[in-house]
Amino acid sequence: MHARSRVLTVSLGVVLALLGSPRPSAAQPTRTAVIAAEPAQLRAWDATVDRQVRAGELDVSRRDTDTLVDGRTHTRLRQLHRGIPVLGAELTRQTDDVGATVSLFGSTYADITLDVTPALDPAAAAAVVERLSGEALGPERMPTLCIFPGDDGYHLAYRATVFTAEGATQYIIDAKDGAILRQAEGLRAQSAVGVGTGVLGDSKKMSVTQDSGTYTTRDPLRPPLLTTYDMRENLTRTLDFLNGRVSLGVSDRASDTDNVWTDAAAVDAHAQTGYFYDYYFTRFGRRGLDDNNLRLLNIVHPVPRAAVFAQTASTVSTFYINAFYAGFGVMVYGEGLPANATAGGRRWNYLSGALDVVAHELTHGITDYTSNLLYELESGALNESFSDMMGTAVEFFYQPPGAGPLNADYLIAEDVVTPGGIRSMENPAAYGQPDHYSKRAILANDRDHDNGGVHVNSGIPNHVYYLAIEGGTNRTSGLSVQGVGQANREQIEKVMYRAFTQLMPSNASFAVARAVTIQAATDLYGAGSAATRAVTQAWTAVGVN
Amino acid sequence: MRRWAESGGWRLEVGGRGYAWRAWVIFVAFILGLASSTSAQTRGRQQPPRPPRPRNTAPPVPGPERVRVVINGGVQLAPGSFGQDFSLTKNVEATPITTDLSLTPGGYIDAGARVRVTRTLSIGAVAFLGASRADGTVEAQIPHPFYFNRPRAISGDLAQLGHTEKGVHLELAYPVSVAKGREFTVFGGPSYISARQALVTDVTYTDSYPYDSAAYSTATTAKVSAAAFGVNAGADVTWRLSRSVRAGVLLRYTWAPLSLTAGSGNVVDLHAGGLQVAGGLRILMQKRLPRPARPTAPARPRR
Repeated sequence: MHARSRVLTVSLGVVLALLGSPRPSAAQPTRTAVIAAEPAQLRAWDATVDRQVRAGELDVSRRDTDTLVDGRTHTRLRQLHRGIPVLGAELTRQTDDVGATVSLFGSTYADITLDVTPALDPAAAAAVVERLSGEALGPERMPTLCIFPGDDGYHLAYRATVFTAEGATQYIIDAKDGAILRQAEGLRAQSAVGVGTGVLGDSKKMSVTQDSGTYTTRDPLRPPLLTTYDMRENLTRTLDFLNGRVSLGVSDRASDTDNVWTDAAAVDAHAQTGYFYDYYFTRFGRRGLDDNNLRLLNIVHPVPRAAVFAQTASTVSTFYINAFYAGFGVMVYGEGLPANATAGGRRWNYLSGALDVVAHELTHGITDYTSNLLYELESGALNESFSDMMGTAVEFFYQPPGAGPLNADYLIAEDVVTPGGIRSMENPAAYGQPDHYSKRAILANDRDHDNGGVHVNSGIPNHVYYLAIEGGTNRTSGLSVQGVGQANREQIEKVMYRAFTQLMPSNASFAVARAVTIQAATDLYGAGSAATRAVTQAWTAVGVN
Repeated sequence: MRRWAESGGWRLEVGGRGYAWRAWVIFVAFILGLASSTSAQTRGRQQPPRPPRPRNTAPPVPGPERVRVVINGGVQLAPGSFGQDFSLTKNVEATPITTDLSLTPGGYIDAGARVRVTRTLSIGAVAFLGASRADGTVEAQIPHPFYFNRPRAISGDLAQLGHTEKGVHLELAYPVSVAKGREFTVFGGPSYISARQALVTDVTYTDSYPYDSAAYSTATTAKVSAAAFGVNAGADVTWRLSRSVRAGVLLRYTWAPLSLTAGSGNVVDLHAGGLQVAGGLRILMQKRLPRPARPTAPARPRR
């Protein structure tokens, strides 16, 4: 799939929330869930899948060689209707060295009879988006066709994401009449409210480029093109870039004349993006977001920090106290707040200053190119949780365990959002998150309600990750988990990586996530292993069975 | 242009700034010419016609030696080893570099003269030139380009780091024994030695992502010179080849402490000199004295 359409598929995945919602309708699409890891199940599903592939109803969108288990291959199959992708319909098939299927997860839709000739062309759909958002889309961001399974049946639709000063919005536009079928939050955001203070003061090496006596933040040593751009507090230019209207050049890079860098936001964004790449390469053999060294592009100083009081709440929550993955390898790091400002009772520093924040947001990029977890409801919470897991994993990879700045712990963003960060994997309830499925938040699936509480319910799988490593007792269920221990945290990291990048379907629920992660642990360490036991016990402890 | 020429298993640097070598050739040629001229003089070629020698008058005989020209070539055995221990900055961290080098035996030539100052003592001055090389290993700890305190060890072999020495030995010589055309002389005195040594100033390496290891490529070297006073002592055995020419074998030990500076913090203490084993010619320049007249035998009576 073309990169653009792949990202758009991700960004619009929220629409599939409707598919899982219990709102019966005569025209409601028919979704078939597939969870197959047992031989009998696999035999039945294998034949069905092969037939659909031959019929052109399933298309191989990606095939990856397993970097953790020799001989295994992972194939992602997207559902097509007359060549048009069906949003959220995807299967992941794991095969062994002789081609036999080991597992199959995902879901597909049946009884699609739609005509795929659009009444609107892409330019007309883009005009609709511009009318709604006030932002014109560049040629790289033009809407693309899809099949949208809505509450009232299937629609031939265009999908597009647009960035504005208020944030990012994903649109699903009916290709017949231009009606808005879906409008949702478009950012994989580190959403929180707080206040920031000064820099952490740690030293980092910067891999930069020297040109005509000036050093600029382009990393020439790592395989991907890693560049950090200083938008010099120009939100208009930032939006022009995010919407594809302008390109950034050498003069936009952060620069320094003596290679002793003092711009803390640029330093941390640049260096820690490199750390993120190195972690994934070292731990999993992965080469960047798309496993093919997709560029990594950081945006810092998108807005003037001192002008925060003159901004709208949306702008503050998007470009000040937030960081987000904008697709195409682009990361935007919020400016934080002035020293005399707080948000949510906390101070906010430059968002790039926290390693777990950087890794969290970039992991959204990994998710985009792998499981493509829909950013809504439980799949959205899993999307957020996987980013928290990997953000914490990266932190433990580089920092010594402990409390306080520059130490690894199970708090999220604690280095830049003080005191305490914004989430805790060890005790989600302390930050208003559920630690048990019975306490999950059931919210409306719209941008005003966090796309169904993706940043809220992520506390449940987050706690699974913590319990699987550290062990302990779930505060709600009282069930205990025997974790693998800190010395073996690498096992759980690999289990989660394997599950979320290779096996997880885009529309996974928590129940599917349980099955997938147990499968991943079994693949890697065996059915009777400590890792498999820990993962199983952890999901049970949080009430997901 | 600088090039190297093999010469009998050791190397001499010629070309480029090798004026010293040419100067030595000229100097040796001069000494040889002087010796030849002196020898010719002793044979009377340039002297005015001599009166007819009385039939019974004996020819002149060599007088006491005044000047002895000495020319030697040989080997200077290695004086030992030395090492470097310095640090550069790479990837914004200190990069310690160490070398362990041993000088190999090298060629050696000298030329000079001794002048008799008393019946038994001579003083002399001998200019010399030697060339050898230093071989060994180099090790370095290359900092990681992305992370502090993750050095990567590299090591490699160093070969043929050029080493030259030149200077002057001043000698006080004393003949211990003279017998049947064979002389044994001991000598010693101060020396002034200038050494030129190629030293490592940097290392190059190859690495690639993720830069967890690096491989040694080459060492960057620079030639560094220093001079110092030292001492020399030795013995010389000669055999007569002709009236004014001797063949000699010489054993000399020289020593001079040097301090070579190749950069900030890159200082090497080196002992120049060593044990020299050489052979060559000794050309004697001496006064020719008239041979005393033979006593006339009394006429025998006729029978």
